Amino acid sequence: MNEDRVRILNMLAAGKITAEEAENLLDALESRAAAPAAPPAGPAITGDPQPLLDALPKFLYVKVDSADGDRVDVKVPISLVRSGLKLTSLIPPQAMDQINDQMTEKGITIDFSNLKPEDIDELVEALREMEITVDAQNGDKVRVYTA
Amino acid sequence: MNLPPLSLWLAVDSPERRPVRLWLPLFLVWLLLLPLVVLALVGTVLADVILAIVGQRYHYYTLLLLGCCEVIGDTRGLVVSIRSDGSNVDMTFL
Repeated sequence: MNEDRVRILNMLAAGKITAEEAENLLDALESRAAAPAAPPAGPAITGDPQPLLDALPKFLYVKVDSADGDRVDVKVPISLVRSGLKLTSLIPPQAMDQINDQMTEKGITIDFSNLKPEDIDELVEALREMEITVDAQNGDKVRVYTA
Repeated sequence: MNLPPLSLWLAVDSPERRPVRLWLPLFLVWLLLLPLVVLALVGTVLADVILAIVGQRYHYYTLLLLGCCEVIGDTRGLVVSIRSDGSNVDMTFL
């Protein structure tokens, strides 16, 4: 019994899905299994990877427009974000505890000691699709995006 | 590791004061700091070796120092622009 099937049955047992939904999911799973296997994948990238690398965003933009007319634009190289995050994983534990305490006092509850190097690459990769737009009621606008 | 920013362009415009345009040759600062960094690197390597021998869990001061250098190197291209009440501050690491 494969993992997906077990998961569906567990969801049914836990009452998260109905018997009908479970049946539909199992049917979908079986039809997927019956489908012909995809041809073996070749190398992920063939040829010159430079155009692909050029398409990746290089900068993180933070734009703040306040209702008073104040404006802040910051353009941060993505490589700086990456190396900064990597640095947090190298900070001595005692110093990291102090940083976390100070941030908790300020209401920021991110525990940077849990940040692992492999997570950092994933995080930076995910930044490519990130766009945050905040329109406050008082007219302040904040936009964070990559390009 | 990227080459650190070679210069910093700073422009400050204020209605009350004369505009300030500064080009700061950061490469001179890096040249001055280089001997200190090399000395610090030797110190951290020694400290890490001693800490590892003693059995301390944390012995990554050398990596921490190199990480700091990497962060400085990656500041190249950072642009900060602030406009408020007629005053403008522009800062670019080139």
